[in-house]
Amino acid sequence: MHGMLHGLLALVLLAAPAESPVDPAEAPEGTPPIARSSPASSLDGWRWGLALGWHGTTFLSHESNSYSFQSLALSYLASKGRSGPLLHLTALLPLQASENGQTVATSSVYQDRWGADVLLGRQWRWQAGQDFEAEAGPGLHGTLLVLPGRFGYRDFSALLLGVGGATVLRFRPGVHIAGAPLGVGTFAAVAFDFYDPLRSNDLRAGLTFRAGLYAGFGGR
Amino acid sequence: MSSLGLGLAVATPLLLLGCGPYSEVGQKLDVALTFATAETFVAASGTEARILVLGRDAGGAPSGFALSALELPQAAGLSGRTYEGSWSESGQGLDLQVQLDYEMPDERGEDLLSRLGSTRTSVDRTLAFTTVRSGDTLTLTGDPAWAGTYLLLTDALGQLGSATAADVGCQFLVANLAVLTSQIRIIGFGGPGMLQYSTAFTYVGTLAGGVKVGLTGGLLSPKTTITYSAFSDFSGVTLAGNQITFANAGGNGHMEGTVAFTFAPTVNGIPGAEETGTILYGQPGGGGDAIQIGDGYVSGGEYVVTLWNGVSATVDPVAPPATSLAACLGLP
Repeated sequence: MHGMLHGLLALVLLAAPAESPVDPAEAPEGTPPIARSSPASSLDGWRWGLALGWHGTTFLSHESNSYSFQSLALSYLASKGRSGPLLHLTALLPLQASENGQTVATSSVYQDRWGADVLLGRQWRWQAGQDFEAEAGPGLHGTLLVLPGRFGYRDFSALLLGVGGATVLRFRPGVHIAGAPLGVGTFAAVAFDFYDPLRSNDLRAGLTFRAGLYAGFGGR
Repeated sequence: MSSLGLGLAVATPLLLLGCGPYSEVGQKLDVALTFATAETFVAASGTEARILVLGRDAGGAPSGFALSALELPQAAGLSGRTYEGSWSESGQGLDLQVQLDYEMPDERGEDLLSRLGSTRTSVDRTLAFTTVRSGDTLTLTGDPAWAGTYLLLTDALGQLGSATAADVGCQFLVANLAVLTSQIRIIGFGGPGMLQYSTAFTYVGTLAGGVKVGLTGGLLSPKTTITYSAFSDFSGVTLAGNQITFANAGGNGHMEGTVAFTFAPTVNGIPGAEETGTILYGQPGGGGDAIQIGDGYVSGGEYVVTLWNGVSATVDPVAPPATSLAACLGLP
């Protein structure tokens, strides 16, 4: 699984500029050289991990109906380098749905409900002290919700596409597992959605939020 | 069957996910009112047929109503609307408290996958009328969209002949009213929302029986079957049998199956002899003059209608009715 995901990231890397600390020999006059051995190099490399949190999306249809879905979210977060690709893949379990203020527990009217959320983009990474780092960046976003109705109830589905951004804050407590440094922290993401090809673009506009706790590996 | 072909409902590669506009969250498919007994009145205005069902519970108290307007610019029918709710009558006043608004829109100009199909919304409004009852007629004064002179449907059924091709055409028109009222209540009918029925579901008849809607077959050869079982949405007309629609991704295909109808006429409220007949939509395989579906709508072919006495004739689905419903039923 991780190999496949890293393969996806490798494809993204092909489209992303390579990390390019300035070579002193090529630096324009007046540009301070950055040594490859600078402390900032601790920001290099992969970060990947799992995150558990909340996913909420609210959107308007062209008929001015408003919809909201609250879901439990299990995410795989990955990124590379001080400036490189980011990927957030999330599996969703919709828990609550509402339309025009009328709220239902999804378990009461839908069966085998599920969803997925993807954010694919570019991030920049910063360090604070020896143990803290942050990353943030924009990307392309999509949320898929599939809620087949229980017997006697109508199905619901949506595919919300748009743009968004995410940030991850990490703390390295100095713990290593199987030789890999552990990082824990929090994450948050927001997206503006404006196109739904699944629903004949009945989507007028939508906002999606995601936040939670993170644990993963990477760095020194 | 109405001109809304079922085929488009299964004409999408997004079978598992559905498409078209967003559906209502947590919407029950069927919340229809049912009545122990009912008086059903019918009226016509231009190409529109109106049916008013005043239902009562087993104790005889008013329990609900259904008021339908069906557009019949062509014999197959095209679109319609039904209100349901509660009603009360005092003196010469009739109030219809509308709680449910069903609509089967004419979406011929819409992209196939953008169609809504039949919808149901909850509303809260009152239609107030002044009434005059005289014999088997009910005259409504008030809301101009519904005002007019209505005739007790079961008495009007006694006006139907059974000897000529024109009589056969009239019997088809009346039987097809029941088909149309059922289609208006099938959520998603005529739109991609029909994908819902990959798990078959049965809607109850307002007065009796039910209509089962099911979708089978693969992605590229879907088959929609609508089965009527002693189905009655209004007094005097009962349906039984299958309509089967095959269509491709473009909403093009054909129909098969036979639906039998039974009319139970009255004379001044006294039951008369029942009359029956059948509507053949197409032979298995769709050969001959099977009803054709184009862009999701009935586009050709012929209904083959056969009456109890063996008299048979064909009905062109897309041509205007040879005889108007008003002339068929002797409506004012």
